[in-house]
Amino acid sequence: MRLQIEHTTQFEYDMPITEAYTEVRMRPLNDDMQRCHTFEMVTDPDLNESRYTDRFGNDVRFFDLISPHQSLILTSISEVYTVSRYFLPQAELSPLDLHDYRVPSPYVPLGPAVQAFGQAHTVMTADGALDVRATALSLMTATYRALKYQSGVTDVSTKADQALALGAGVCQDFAHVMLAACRSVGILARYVSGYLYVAVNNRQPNDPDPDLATHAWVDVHLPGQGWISLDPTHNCEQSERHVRLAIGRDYTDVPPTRGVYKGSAKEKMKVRVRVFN
Amino acid sequence: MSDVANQSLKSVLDQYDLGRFFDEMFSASSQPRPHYQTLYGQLGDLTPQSFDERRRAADASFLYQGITFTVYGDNDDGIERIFPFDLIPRIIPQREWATIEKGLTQRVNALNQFLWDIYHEQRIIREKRIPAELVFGAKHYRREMIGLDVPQRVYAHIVGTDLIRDDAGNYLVLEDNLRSPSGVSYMLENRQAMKRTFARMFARYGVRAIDHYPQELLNTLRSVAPHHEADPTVVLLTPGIYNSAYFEHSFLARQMGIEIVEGRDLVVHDNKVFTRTVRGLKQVDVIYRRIDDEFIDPLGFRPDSALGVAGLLNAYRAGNVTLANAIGTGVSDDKAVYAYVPDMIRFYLNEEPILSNVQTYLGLRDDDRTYMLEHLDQLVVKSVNESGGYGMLIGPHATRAERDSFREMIIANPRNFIAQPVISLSRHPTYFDGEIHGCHVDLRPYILCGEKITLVPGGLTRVALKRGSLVVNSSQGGGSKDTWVLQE
Repeated sequence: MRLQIEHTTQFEYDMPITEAYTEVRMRPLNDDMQRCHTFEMVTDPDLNESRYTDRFGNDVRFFDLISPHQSLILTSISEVYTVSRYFLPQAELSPLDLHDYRVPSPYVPLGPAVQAFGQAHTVMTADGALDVRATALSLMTATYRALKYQSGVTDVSTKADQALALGAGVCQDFAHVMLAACRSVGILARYVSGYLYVAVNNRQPNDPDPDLATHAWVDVHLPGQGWISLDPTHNCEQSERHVRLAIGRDYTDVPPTRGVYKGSAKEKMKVRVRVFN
Repeated sequence: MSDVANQSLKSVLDQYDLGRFFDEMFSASSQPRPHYQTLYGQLGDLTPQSFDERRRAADASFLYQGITFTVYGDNDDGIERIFPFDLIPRIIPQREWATIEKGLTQRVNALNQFLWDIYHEQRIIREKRIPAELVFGAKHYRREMIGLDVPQRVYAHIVGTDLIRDDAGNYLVLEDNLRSPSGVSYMLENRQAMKRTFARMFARYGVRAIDHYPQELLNTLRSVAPHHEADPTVVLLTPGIYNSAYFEHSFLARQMGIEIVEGRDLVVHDNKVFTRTVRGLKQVDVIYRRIDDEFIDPLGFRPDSALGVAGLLNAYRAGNVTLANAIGTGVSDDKAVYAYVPDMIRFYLNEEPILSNVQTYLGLRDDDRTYMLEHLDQLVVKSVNESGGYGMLIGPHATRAERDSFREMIIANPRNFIAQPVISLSRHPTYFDGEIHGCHVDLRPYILCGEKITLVPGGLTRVALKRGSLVVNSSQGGGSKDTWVLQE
């Protein structure tokens, strides 16, 4: 499916600020299954851009604005081709990936409640080994059932164990709970941040706001094969409506914008994300 | 003073109690080792009164120059103290130094290769020579450094390695300091004090010079500038005047003739780092930073840090500035990673280590942990990320309650603890409270690594001034001595 994304972030300050530094992860990923055909980043005021690829392979753009200002607008426009069934072959992982996607991370502590939740939904093969694919699917469904989709009850700092205890949250919380469940039974799993296309006449209860179409889900590694990608908020596999933006251990590694500035001014951030077919 | 007032210093030295330790100066009572013979003769000729006068003059000069060190206690208020200086120098014969120099060069070489490897190919982990969780689970492992290329693959430009001697006089490596090793200013000031106080003795002894250290440090920093810049701008980045080592920061900057800056004096623009001057912005090529990783860039690390420079990590990644030491070197300061340095030397250099480690038990290894827990009363237990003598259990001197609390901590978090046998550190005659005592010493040589590896001969000899104390860190109330490496 061909999808177009327009992602605008507007920063406003109640007093002039100086030395603002912003990092942006907004360029959709290119891999064997998804192709980012075009990508354009526009800033107001017009700024020089530098870029690098982070340790997870995400594209990062970096801007500085050292002169006094009260507003900064960042807009990214991308065009992406997605596939209906996503599978990313990667039989061998680096030692660091093998470690990072298995252990706790800042948003994904592996406490007793999460461990019990994971253990309760494992699926074994006939010869008594863990069936990774079946367990991952079972944990996705379990997460989908354990949480009620509800915005406003959690925030950007909520961790997996807190969301599980609350039994509610948004896509970020669904993803963190499923990551915790997977890792607590020894399955390697990583966080995917992205967008979700929802046709106007086909909205489901768990779908994001059409003006804020950001989304999050989970990649699970099948040993010796590669990554399958599961969306616990919708209890489905990644579809052609999912656009992959960045991957990491959890939300810590993938925020679309991250910034600091000098001065005591208050910041107001407005985000609008629209996905078109 | 009363004990020694009526004697010559010789008779005081001859009454000196060697204890059951390796003594640096004496092989037996009244039997100085050959390289201490001249010192023994000349000290012996002094009267205690004249020795004490010189000592007071030396102390006054330290106070006058404001050479102080902040001691952190249980509460967070640092107490500023004069770093106690002892007038009896520690002497190292040239052939011993030659071995130390070779051993440390080898060690720092292997450590730099290790640091490059863990941020690139991770070959040592793939080949299972060190556990992945030890490296990737280390507190100071920095994922931001993956794939980032540093000039000449040098990560640790300034290393301070702590050496001790066991009861047979063998030099052993106690720990490596690859983040911001401090103390080199004391090494330099101790030498100045010694030269003033014992000018003639010093001249006759044939002591190798160390005064060129600041120049060597500057050469090292200049040699790692980006793009082979012909005349690079080097600055020293300090957390500021409240830092316990601020004296050293300003001292070194002055000696090198470079600017000392705080985070707010630097600004990043277009991925380059600039210092603000009265004539505008001036680009900086190399930063000798004495700020910890977490605080160095609020965008890349802790956003609440007011000490750092926003965007610095990206300028560094773009290759427009060199940081010394590199970000992420602290993984080697982890005391469990330390245990693998001999294996690193074999793995990367295909050589046998010239200097040995202290035998180390790792909480991570089941057999080691069992041994640790069964022998807590005989071992020194250390938390892997603490330094400066904090977070330590000295088993034989600890109470039952202290041992029990460490037992619980080890069981709860085995990866974070190591244990070592209690080493009888060598001792050195040291003057305090009006007497000469045998005090435990260690040695911290400073290794500079740029285009080449350089050591100035000697280093900082630290002394445990509390009677019987085995802890020599300056933050635990230790003192120091001038360290003489002889020409022949």
